[in-house]
Amino acid sequence: MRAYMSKVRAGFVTGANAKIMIDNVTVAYATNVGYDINVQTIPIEGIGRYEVWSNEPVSYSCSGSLSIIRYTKRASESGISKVDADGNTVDQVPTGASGNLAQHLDPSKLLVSETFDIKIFEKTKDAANEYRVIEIRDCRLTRRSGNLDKRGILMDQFTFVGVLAGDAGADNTGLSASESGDEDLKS
Amino acid sequence: MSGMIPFFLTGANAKVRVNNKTIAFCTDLSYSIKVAHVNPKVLGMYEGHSVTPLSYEVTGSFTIIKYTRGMAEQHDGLHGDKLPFGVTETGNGIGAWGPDGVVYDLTASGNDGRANQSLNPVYLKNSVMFDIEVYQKGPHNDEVPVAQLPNCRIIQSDFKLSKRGVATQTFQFIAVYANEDTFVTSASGVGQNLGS
Repeated sequence: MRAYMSKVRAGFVTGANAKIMIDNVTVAYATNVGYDINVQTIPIEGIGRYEVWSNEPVSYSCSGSLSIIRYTKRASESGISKVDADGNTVDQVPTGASGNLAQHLDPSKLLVSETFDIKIFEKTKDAANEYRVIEIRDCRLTRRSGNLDKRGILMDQFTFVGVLAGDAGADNTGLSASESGDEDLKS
Repeated sequence: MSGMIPFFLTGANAKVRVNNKTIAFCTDLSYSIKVAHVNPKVLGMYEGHSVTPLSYEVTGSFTIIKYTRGMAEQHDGLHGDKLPFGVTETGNGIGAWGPDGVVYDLTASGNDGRANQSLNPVYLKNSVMFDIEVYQKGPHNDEVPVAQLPNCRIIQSDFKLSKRGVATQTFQFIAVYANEDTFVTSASGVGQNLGS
């Protein structure tokens, strides 16, 4: 029987102790991130049965969305702490070797755009030992939207698709999901 | 009923091999076995006299998502870009389905049994047939053969590129036989040329 609740640290993943990283860059002003793993199945149905024989998996896909509160270059001039001096527009979120998120939304840069990984960490007491919770690999932005209204802040909303998503590996690295396919033209 | 694994053959757990090469970017494959019959009608009978088989033929088609020869080398070798899993530098066109996996040089000559010979006028006289095989992949890296279409030739190639679509190439083929997991065909005869 547990008599006391003192000295119990936060043990759940909440928005307050989570960290979102896009290609290993912290997105500190993200307000939410959601992901969806969808495994499509087809029912094997036969004459003479009411129930299906089985539900066979035929495809896997993942997608999601995240929102980022926008600030401008002037935010740093205003003395707000922990903001980037160049603002946090989509151009400022670096991905790939030399690209950024905006590559996915700029027709002139789509051909050089690179996929990005989204990682969700649980922050711990030891800042150098954060636990990776979820990882979504090889994402591409499919939509950006925003809305500004009286009494509201500007928020960039992004939707994305990824190739693989899942929990972090047991050793806090890797991914619990892996590719299923074959290599082309191998004997 | 817990513990049931995916059991039925679906597009997701199938593997297609052409000339013993995995065609990883194949999107669909179909084949048809057709046995033509004649049903002779004779005077004095309402129904046909019999149903007599006349011929046996196998036709089919499959489609691949096309990528280009040299694209992987260009990006991976020169620029260090990350590439989709499993692509090759040879591209996956019909010229890359040869037994040694090296893309067929457009200026080369020779005859070594490549599927693309079916589409090249200069090689048609000496072209060699190839096999198509379909396997079902299991959960333990096992493969079970489903169908085998020996002695195929490509008879039509259709390339399609559209706005908002990936380039696909559909190959129609004919085969001499079609073997499946539950039955194996065999030759019906060798003809009677000048036999005694």
